[in-house]
Amino acid sequence: MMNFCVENKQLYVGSVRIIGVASSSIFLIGDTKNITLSSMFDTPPESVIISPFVPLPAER
Amino acid sequence: MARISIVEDVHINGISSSSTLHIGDHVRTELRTQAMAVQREIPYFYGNEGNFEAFPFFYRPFPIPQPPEPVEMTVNNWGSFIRVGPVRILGISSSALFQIGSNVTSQSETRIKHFRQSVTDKPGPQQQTTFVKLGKDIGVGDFEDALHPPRPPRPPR
Repeated sequence: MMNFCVENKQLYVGSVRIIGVASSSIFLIGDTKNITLSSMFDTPPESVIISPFVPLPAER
Repeated sequence: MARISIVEDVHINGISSSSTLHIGDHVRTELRTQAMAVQREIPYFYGNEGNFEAFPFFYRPFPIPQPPEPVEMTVNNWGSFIRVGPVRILGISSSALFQIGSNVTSQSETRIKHFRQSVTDKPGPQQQTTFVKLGKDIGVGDFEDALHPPRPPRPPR
């Protein structure tokens, strides 16, 4: 069992300037215990299709 | 005991696509995004296109790394505050979260599948220009050489 001790002192952040928070990201001003963020982005070479127009599979 | 967050000023231009601005405490947050990004040389789209069920990419489980051993965490805040000056954000989108306050568990999953569809040939080399190297034993790529580096040549006697 690993013991992890944290002592928080006064924290002051001057100013925050963010362009974007996107795709289930988190910007948190506060305390937390667990954060699990996962992301998949798929753009393989096969995703480049040079051919006459092929529509994507239709919704049901 | 969680700390108190003090924020001087918040300025947000836009919040879209089921994103959240949360002021206050939270116990559990789950964020999920699925998207198909389609670029077409000729922007012609049918209205009913796009089916997540047709792609196993949207079902593949995420490998969640686990800590190698259980961790006992103790936090002592000494009655401190989190003070932040002005916050300026242009955009929050795609089920992202901006929270002022404390949280216990946050979990988020994003899956974006990207297509690029061209009708005409592009300039440049026509042959295949991207390759995927396949290893034999461990993983994919050039791991083998890093794990079993070739022996240096013997010095001449």
